[in-house]
Amino acid sequence: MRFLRNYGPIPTNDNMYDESIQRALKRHKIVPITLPAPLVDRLVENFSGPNPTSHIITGTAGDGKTYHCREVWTALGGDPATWIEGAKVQTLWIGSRSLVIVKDLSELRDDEAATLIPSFAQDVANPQASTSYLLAANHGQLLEKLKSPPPSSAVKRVTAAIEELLVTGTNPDSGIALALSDLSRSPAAEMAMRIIEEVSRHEGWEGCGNCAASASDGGCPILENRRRLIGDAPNDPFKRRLTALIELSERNGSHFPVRQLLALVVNSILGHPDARDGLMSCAEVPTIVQSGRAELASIYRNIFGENLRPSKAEKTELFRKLNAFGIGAGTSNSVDNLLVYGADDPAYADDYARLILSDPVYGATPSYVTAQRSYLEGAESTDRIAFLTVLRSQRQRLFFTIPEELASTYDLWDLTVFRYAGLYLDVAAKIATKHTVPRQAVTMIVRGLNRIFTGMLVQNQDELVLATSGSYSQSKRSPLIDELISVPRRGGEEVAVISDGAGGFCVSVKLVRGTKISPITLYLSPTRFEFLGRVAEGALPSSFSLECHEDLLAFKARLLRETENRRKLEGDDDINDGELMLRFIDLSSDGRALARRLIVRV
Amino acid sequence: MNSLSYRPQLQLRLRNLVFNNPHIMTVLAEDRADDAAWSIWLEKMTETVGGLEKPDFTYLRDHFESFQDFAAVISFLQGSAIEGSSNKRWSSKFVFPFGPNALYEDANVKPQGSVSNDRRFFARTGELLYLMLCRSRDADALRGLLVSRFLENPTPYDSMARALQGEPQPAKAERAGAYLPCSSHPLFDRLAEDWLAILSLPIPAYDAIPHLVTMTGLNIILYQLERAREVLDHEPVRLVCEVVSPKKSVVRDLSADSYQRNNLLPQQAVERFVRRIEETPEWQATIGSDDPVLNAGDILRKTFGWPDSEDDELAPEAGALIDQLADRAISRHKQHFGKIHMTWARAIGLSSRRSSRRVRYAPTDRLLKTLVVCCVDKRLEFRDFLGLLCDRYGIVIGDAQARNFIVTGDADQEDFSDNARRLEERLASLGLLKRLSDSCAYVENPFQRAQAA
Repeated sequence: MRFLRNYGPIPTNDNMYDESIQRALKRHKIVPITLPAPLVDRLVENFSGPNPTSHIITGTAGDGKTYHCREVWTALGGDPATWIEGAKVQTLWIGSRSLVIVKDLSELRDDEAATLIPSFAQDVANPQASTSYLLAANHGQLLEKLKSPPPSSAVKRVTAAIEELLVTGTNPDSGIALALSDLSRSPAAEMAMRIIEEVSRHEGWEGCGNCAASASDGGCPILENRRRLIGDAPNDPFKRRLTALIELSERNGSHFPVRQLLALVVNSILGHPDARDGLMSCAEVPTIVQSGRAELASIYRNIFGENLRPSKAEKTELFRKLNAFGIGAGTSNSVDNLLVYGADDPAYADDYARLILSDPVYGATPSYVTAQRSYLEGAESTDRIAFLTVLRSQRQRLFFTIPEELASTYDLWDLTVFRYAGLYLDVAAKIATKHTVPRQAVTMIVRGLNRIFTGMLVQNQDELVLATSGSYSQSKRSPLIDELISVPRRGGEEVAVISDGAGGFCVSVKLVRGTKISPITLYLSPTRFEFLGRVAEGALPSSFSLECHEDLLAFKARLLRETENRRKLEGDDDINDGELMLRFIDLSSDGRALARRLIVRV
Repeated sequence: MNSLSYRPQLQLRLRNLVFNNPHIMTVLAEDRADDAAWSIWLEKMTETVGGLEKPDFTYLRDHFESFQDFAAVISFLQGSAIEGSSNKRWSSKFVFPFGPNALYEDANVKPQGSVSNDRRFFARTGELLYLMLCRSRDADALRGLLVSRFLENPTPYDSMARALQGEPQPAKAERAGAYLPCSSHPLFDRLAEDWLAILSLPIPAYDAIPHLVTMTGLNIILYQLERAREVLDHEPVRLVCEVVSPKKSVVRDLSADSYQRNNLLPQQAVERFVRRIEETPEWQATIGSDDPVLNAGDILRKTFGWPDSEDDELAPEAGALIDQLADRAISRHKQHFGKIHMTWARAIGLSSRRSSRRVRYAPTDRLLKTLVVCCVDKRLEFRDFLGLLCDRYGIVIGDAQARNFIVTGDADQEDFSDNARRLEERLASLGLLKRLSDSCAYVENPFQRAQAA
């Protein structure tokens, strides 16, 4: 337990570092938590092969860079004991070749880097070199170290190649034998599942069988949380919802490194606001259970760091990212009706029994039922605040427990700030499995785009109304139609939602048959998707920043440039026989934008 | 040098139609037959038109199929006009610069019909800017780009402006007398570099205009400050910028101080420039001469062209004469050039009073975007970007640039590194920055990227 606790968000946080984990494992004689690292096999194969390519591992802090280096070291026959001594630069001989491993580039002093970097730069540019490298560092340190030695042409060339690799992922310079793996691009949702699996089924749990706490009346909240983490039914929604959150977050550009995922899982199991540092240890369990506050150990609250002090949770990046979903704060009428009136309303009786009464530990707890009663009976305002707090926990619980078949009845995603997230995930899944994208999503995207492009509340959804203000693309209102682009494929035109090749999707606009003009694409992050959804629906909360709007106007500017190219390709002039044709947007009675042609003889 | 002379366009027919034409709506509302609508409108228009000797708009009927079409085109031009909704007089409003036919100079049209250029609202035709660009190192390259992208390649709407205006209408007299003292200046070169950078982006010319306007504003503010600094012999001009934070911060105070200091700089320079004469040997000689006031007047007349007329009430003593000149220079300055820093900084989004009573440098998203678009070729590491802004424009945002303030104890390193972090977040949310991991981020020019994609 103590070992596990160290993964959590506590001050000592020893298990943040691969080095200290190794020491702790020995001390406690625990089987380590092992996670799949497909990269290790590839690296080992590469370095033991005849023509090894030097490799750089980058990633956010806590992605497992050191772990990878250690695994490669041992797999290639390096002595674990030598590794633990912790030299900054380790060299391994494989036959006649040498492999230099630097597990953390930032540990090097400037003078050390000054010798290593230039020779590294020379060796990667030289196909005959007998030394290859495995370097690990996070992005900023990597570039800093590359810039620290006196610049030479070889170093500059490598730096340029590395920059390109970092940002675009491709190596433009074929003369540089170098590959780079960015661990922060690996999918965290999958990793989270593996971690839950590893932690919750770890053999150390067997030691709990003869523990007094688990046998007592209240039960042990730690074990309760573990049980919920494992899930009792095959279609248990808990893990699916959690991965959905992680995936959405990643698609929005916030990455979860392995270290944070471990902390999340541990916090979910051990969290309780009354415990020291917010994480329970076995010794504290009996007191907590006796005080009758065991329900505060609810795994559904712990996921959002509610066991920690608000300031601490706010400071922990992990919980900041998860709380961005606003689960608990936002709600839908149906969910709140259920939670508030469900006990008495016959219409809700079945669901109330199924979703709330069935869970005596964290659902229909005595304190919840009391708070609900006193609220309904119109008690003092202080009780109302207390009730709102328990209501918040209940909403969080429901988010993770509403079964799939009830998800749409209770507008599950209305519990988050991303009301269209369900649709988003649906589209992403359909695209990944090469199914047709739901029609509803395409029309929503097109209508949203049209409203932003024209600055009017237009209803068109089977064509893209590409409007222009005639002056700058950034202006808010655009009274002129540049082109109407058909959404179903017609005459080379098509608007579709396609995969971005990395599990997400983008909207793609094709203007011509063939490849003369390549399709114009826009990556749809959950935030942009939500923005379009809200605009298509008509109401836009002011909390959405201008960023999405700007992005979409920039997208429009790109489209306008390409339609102009198309007109050039097809030889359409703006002015024919001294006549300039303008197309103004007219709104028909049902809100569709129509083109009204108008000719100016010039 | 300084012999620039040219004849600007007036395009009064176009301007009357777009900005001095309240009749279209009333005629449309009457819902008459097309012929009747035209004739009623023509009659009304002839009565109220300004600045034209023989107003005759009948030619318009050949260009449009119906009165309604005409009305739609006019309303489009009104909608896209620059500051179209401002309450300036109609003869000081401008249609969007679609091309050569849509360019003209500000004018004052009197009710009797006389047209003059009284040049209010800083509204010369950009003569000084023109001279600066002409005297820059890159003048030739810039001329090529401006001609090929604007003058020879106008948008189709320029022909619409031409249809409304008819024959171009130049001013009656040549305009001359623009004066720019420096034959070259590093700032002229930088201004031209910025223009070149923006004009060579793969975006339509009309989209480049807002960026050009913003960068020009910034550079001219800096030119004014730099010239003042040269006279006063101060340390380099710095603009401490707060990236707007929800809470009051040390950086906010420092940026307000920096704004205040810069705002006074030109005025101090004017005074110093006048008073400098007291230190010359000639001036010293006059003090000791028989008729100090007369001789001092001669020197002042020779140097400043003042006092020039007999009716001025002159001070009885040489020192007071200087005071008198300095006072007049400053009071004139306050009404005119002294306002440039304040007005323009606000207009380009450099300064703001958001959530504070004092004005300070707090760049808007629009300005930040322009800076990225202009300064970043493809991509640049965030810290290098901060350094570049400081070297190029004296903009202080991060802790590395604010070292002076940190050394003197006016601010902590954390104050400025927080400021830089907020900028990083702002840029990321504007889609201009790509973050890699903990301490590393790249600022990216969105247009270059769009081209590659």
